[in-house]
Amino acid sequence: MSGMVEKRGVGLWLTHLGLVIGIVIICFPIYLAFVASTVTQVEIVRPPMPLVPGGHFFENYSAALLSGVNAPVWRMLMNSMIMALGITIGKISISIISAYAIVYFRFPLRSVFFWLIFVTLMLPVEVRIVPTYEVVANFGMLNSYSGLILPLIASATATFLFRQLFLTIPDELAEAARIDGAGPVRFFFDILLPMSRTNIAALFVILFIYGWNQYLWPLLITTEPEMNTVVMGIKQMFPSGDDLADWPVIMATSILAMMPPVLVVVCMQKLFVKGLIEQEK
Amino acid sequence: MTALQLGGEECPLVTAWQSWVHLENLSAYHNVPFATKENGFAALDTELAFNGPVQVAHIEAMGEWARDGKFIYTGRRNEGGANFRGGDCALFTESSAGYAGVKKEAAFKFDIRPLPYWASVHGAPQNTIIGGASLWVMEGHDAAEYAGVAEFLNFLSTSDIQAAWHQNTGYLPITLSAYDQIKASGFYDENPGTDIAIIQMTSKAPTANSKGLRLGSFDQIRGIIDEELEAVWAGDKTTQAALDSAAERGNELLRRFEQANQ
Amino acid sequence: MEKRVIFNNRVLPYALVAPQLLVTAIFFFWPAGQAIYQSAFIPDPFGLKTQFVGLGNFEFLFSNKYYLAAFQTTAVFSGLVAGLSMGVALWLAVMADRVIKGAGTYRTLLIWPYAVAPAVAGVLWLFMFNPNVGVVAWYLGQYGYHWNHVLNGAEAMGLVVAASAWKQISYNFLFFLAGLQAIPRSVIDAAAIDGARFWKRFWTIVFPLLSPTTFFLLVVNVVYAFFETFGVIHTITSGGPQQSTTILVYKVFADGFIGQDLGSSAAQSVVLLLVVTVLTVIQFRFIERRVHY
Repeated sequence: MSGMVEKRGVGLWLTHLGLVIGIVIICFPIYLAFVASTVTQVEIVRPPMPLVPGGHFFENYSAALLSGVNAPVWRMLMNSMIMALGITIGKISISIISAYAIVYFRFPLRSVFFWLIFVTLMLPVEVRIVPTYEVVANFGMLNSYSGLILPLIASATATFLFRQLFLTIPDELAEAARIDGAGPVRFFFDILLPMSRTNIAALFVILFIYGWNQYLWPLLITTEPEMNTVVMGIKQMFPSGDDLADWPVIMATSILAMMPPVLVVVCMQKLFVKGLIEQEK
Repeated sequence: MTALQLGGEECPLVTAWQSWVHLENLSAYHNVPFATKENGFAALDTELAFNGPVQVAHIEAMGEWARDGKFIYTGRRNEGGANFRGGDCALFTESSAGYAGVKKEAAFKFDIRPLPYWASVHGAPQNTIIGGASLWVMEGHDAAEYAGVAEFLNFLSTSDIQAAWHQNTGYLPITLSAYDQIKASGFYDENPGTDIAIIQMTSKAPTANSKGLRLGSFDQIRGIIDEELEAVWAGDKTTQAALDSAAERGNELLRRFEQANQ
Repeated sequence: MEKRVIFNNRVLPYALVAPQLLVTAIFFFWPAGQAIYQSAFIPDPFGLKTQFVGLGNFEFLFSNKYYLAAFQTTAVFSGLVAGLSMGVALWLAVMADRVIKGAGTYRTLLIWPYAVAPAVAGVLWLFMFNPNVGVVAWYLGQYGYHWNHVLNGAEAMGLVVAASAWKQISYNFLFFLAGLQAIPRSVIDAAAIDGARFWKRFWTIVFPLLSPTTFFLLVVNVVYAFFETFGVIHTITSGGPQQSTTILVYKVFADGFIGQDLGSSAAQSVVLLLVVTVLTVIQFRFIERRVHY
């Protein structure tokens, strides 16, 4: 694929150099956080902090995981995992069946439903925080997993995507299934789902990261430190008032907060990139 | 403070709760109004008055100290406590509740003194005002619940509870009888300076300017004051302009509060 | 492209749509309606009574210097974030497109920040620039520049822009790279044969062919800067100093949850609702033209 375009010599070295610089810009803050999570508080508080990792990895990470600052980080990681998986599985489930209904059934008010769901694309949760908070509070769902999950699956981006996907599946398949005497449920499970596998997987990655990285909403509805998710909990580990910041623990928590999404992205990179870009076509 | 700085001290003065110490208590201590209508106690159509000459002069002085490095701004709340307890700073203006933390962590000898005042202001020193969290009783519950609430409040006001509360935290006891009980127990002799806050507050009968504040949306108004003070410390605004702007913005909020509570 | 309808069940479709409708009705439409309704009232802080003020909250907002400043701050902030993030991403994508060996490795190393939450990005950058312990702040101090974003508004804006843009570079990079790789080699080769050097080829051929991608990313980046950067601002500056980094969505939170001025917060939500609607319409009008219904 190299064609006839000059790609040798100085030009190529400069290109590699440019990319390496890019990587340094991208990775430096993360690297620095990692170093900070492996040195002692004293070394951080008297700058400059050393730029190579220190020897306190196990000490700091166990301190973070087991006691944290106001809640143990293992708890926060668990809360994040439950929330992220809840959002991902919840959203995919209700969206795929809704899209199925809209595409493959005729029923009155079908287009009304479609437009209602479409409208939800337009408002991220940040725009309706106060009244959504009231609704959640009235249901008694503050400080609960359902409170963390349900408001965030209420938008229809996934429904839209599945609809686009289903529209590209050839009608002949459905015809064939009907001729074979398969009902809608069997069609769904035996044919549609397997065909949607890659899209579901890509969406899984995207939604998992979206759910894991939620900040504003968990911040608002959790008041007990045990219900903190790890991403919003980091800010609360910062001193308010006259406490001293426990930097190694804070930075260790930041690294831990990044790990699951980064692992998911890196391991499923091919799939995820394809899904991300396909999604916008 | 000049002497401190010349002596090599990098951080002569820090403060906590800048609005509360250096504007609210300043006004009360010098018997000048913080807001009209008896600081808001008399009516809802109160207006802010902390941009008066006494307050402007004081903040102006602090602004100069900030520029000269004599006053180090550390934050809106009590972030300065960390600097003081770490031994970095020489003087610390703070709430009496900061005592507990200082006693526990300071690795040096320290002393407590009453709040300084400008002797040139007539009427100073008057008295300082109370601050801190409060318990609120809301309407709309039944009589039996209120009976329980009353018992609980009575319980909290007993001298024993008040004495324990005060001695452990530095917050002030709410009754004079509790104060007498603590005094009789010798606590103040063993811990000199812990009674200064009480004496400062009760030694003179309060005037309309020194009974405290009753202002709507005050949390937001404090935020506005903090912002404008930060502008003065950063040298972005003159003192009069900053305090005028704070008063104007605060008044907008007071009018909204008035509207919501007619 | 209308689907040929296959199944004629009466009840099943309703059962299938029901869960989504239920969740959406309770957690989306009801609160959205409430936001519009509440914007016409000023409740007292304890929520015991409310005063109807009609458009009073909106009048208050639009005559308030700080609210109007928030519009400007948001515009500046999103422009800077989108510009910086897309610019760096395009530069990296162009270079990654030119190398054959190692493109995959570079891509793996460059997509990390996509997975990082904006709030965590905020913490990472705050740690570097913290006036007391930050490594970068300390090095700047060695050269005589005292970094203090707690008091200096321009530095605060610079820091939140940097953290927000940093995080978004990978997303933009992926799309730009895909866009570049979709350009047929033959077009580039033809231009090369004609003697066009790299930059000329870039500006006359590549960049125009990338314009759908660019426009799409522009809208996505603006929406990102408007809403998802709340975490960055909350962790680094809390909207300060003197509200110089208070973007519109942060103000909704600050006035509503911290200041307890629920009427003003609701009115602000309504304004944001209109802004998002406009942005979404633009996105669908100009970008999704290719999508058939």
